Amino acid sequence: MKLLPEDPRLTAYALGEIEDQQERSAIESAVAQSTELQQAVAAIRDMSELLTKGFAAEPIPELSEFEKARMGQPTATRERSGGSRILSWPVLSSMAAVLIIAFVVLPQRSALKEDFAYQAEPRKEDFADQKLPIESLISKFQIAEGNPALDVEIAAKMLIESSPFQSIARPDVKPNEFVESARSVTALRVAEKQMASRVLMRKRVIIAKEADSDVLLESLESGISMDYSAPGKPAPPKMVKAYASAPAPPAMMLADNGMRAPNQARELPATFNTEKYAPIEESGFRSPLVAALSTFSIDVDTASYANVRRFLNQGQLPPADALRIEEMINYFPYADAAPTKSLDEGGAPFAVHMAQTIAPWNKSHHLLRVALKGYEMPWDERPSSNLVFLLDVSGSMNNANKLPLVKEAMDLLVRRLDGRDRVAVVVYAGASGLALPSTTANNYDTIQHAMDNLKAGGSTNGGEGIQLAYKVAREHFIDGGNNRVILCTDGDFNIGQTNSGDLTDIAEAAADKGISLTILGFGMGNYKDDLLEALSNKGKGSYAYVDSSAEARKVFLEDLTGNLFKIAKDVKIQVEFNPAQVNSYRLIGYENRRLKAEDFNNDKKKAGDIGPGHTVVALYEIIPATVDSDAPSVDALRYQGSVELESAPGEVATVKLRYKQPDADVSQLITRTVNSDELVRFDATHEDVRFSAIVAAFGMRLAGSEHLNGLSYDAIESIAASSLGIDPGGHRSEFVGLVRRARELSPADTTMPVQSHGTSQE
Amino acid sequence: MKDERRSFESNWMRSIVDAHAADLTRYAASILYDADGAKDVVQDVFLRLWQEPRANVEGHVLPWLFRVCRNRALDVRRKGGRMKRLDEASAERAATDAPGPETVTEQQDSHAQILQMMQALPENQQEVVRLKFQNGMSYKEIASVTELTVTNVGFLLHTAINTLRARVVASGE
Repeated sequence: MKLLPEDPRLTAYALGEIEDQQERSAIESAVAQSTELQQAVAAIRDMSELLTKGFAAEPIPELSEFEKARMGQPTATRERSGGSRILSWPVLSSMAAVLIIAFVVLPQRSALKEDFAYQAEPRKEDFADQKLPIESLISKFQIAEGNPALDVEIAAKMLIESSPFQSIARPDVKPNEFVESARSVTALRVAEKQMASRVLMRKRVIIAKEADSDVLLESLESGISMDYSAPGKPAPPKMVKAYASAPAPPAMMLADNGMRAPNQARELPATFNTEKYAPIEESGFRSPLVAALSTFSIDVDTASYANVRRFLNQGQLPPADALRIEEMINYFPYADAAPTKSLDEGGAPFAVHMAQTIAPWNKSHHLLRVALKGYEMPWDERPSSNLVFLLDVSGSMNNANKLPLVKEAMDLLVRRLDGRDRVAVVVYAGASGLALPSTTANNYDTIQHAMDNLKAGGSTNGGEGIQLAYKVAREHFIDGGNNRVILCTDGDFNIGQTNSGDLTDIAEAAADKGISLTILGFGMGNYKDDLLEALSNKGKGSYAYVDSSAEARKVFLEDLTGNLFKIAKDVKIQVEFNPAQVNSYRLIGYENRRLKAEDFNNDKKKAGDIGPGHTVVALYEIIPATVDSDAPSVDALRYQGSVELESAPGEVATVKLRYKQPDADVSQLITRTVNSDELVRFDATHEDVRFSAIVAAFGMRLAGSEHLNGLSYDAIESIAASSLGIDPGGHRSEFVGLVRRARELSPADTTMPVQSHGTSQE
Repeated sequence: MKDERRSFESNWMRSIVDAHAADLTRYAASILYDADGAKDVVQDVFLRLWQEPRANVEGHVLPWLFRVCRNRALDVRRKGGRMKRLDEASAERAATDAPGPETVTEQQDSHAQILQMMQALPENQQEVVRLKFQNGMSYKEIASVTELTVTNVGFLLHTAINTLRARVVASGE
């Protein structure tokens, strides 16, 4: 047997993984005859030992008894369903019942603890006794995961077992110690409320490692455990210590008194694992003989790019399903000319630009770039605005990059509005409320005052907030104006009594009545991309993700008018390809924006809106008719008239656009044709064309697209670097940096079989 | 009768949790970079185990747990839930598992180095290396967890080990 050191079987052999005896002895004898192989085997075994020891040195997470006990909990479903298996995960239906019980119990618990806290000489035994009914309840109703009662029980156990309460039980307890203990009870109540309201997202007791009051406050208010990740450190006992030693933070009281959720039992699980990133299926090449028409809705969102940037900056390659290439392309400003004639004078809301070039990843393929550029409305031509800011002021927004940033941005905006415009602010947290009734924007001091008084605290109940915001918007509706709810959230969006479906219905119904929804996602926390994207799509608004102050400036200053106003709605694009010129084509991105061909002319079928100054770019990759391709094709059609391949220049495609004026029901049509002699060499084409093509290439590269033809990150980087143009805002330079980052994170050897991650079969 | 069965199952469950929860949490954390989220994932895994008829998992509980854990963790990661920015995550790590500057220097031995080098491998290689050398799984078990073929697992491991060997040699020079 001839065996090379590069043979994977040698590794298998060295690791004792060859099961077939014959094969094993064959390898054995091959190794015996070659010192080279012997050295290789020894080296593999050395490496194996080194790795085993290295991994053994990695700290193993230490799980507390509480955590283990919780992990061992069965679901109620198992009890009920017997033989039949319910595979939904989590088992929501069973949880509903359990949760209602839990919430009935909770208020009594709070009352209990209140008594306890203010009792003159509280004793540990009292508390323990009073806890009993809950314990029996818990054992009676097999607790499903995330049940707050279980968390509360655990918390209670810790409370009892932890030092401050032991000190209470002691007769020599000093008064100030008692006060501290009472505070810790208050703290626990706040924590408990957090747990209850975040029942499915936060399934653990809040831990604050540092006895630093700010840290404590942060962790309490946000419900984000600060330091749970320390491997090998049993955390729970620290919690109460931290509470006890921290001075009572004033905001905690605020959260306790002012932000109480009116009815927490309504916060039923709706979002946990019910949505996903919709899997993105890259579209392949299609022959115009099979499908002559390609139809899709425009998309002005940019969130995917910011999300991808976050992944790369945190040292991970983004998962393929997070890559919406059209959102990556449309993130960047392009210099395509906007219409010059104003809307009032009957100008078109957007200009259409076409360009053809060679695909940078395949010399024999062409790229068709269709760009729409919205009319850049002068600020004083804007319609009157009725803006309702819906602000998430839950604890998790209490972060320099969140609420303060939102306020700053709102201030920038309000300063640019005037007496024609109205601004209202609805906040939501434990309870939702109107922080600023609708006020004309020239009352700057009033607005400023309301903004100054906004503070983060309490948990999130977005469902009520959104209804209140829409109510305010309806009450001050401006006919023909810009009526809009602007949701600013970190995505920790407990949606109260409504499930996500109801919520999108509300947004959709409001959009039909002329109230749009703009969503600005902030920070990290429990960011829910899928929910927010669905909401903004239904709400017919834009959706941007603000991950940094630089991005906030882009969204609020550079893209301000584009995000706030719309100049055309239901914008659809349909491209008809000429089989005489085009062998096959594919649309890059827009996977979830496809429309049926017949929807194009159907004015009842909704599509995306476009705002002033927005650029929407779509790229088609085209295989010219003169090039052979293996795209699925059909036999020559007998009744369609035969197609003669033309070598002479001719029409490649007809691009049709439909849009409606913001207040119209009937669409208008724009038709443009593309000729083959308009093709420009890639290096001679405009930098915007080059840049949008290379952003697409980057997205395809990250998604592992087979169409990319092995274009390397280095090539992408150098093309991007040579297509910066004047780069207002520096976004393109940043992109070049991201390409570099992706290359560093990517496998060095591209010969590896590509294993796509994350096909969940369970 | 039913109670008896229940308690039997509870004990069985508890023994599984005791035996594997920590390993699973570490594994999930290696996918999520988030020990907290990892615990949630592992809890979900055990919930699934309760729902799974015993006969389906008997005899290969370990790969079953790891597979469900992997899929769940990847799901969570894909949804971008509980993601932390690099600076947040690293600051936290610095505050928690980093044992202080002096100890760090002492620990800069071959073990830490090899882990660092491992982290430069492509993710699919890292994963099989971890399952092999941290969790002591066979090629077959790894194949079952990652839903790859045994040959593919062998190839990934082989490539990973060769790369690491080359890097160790290079760093020694």
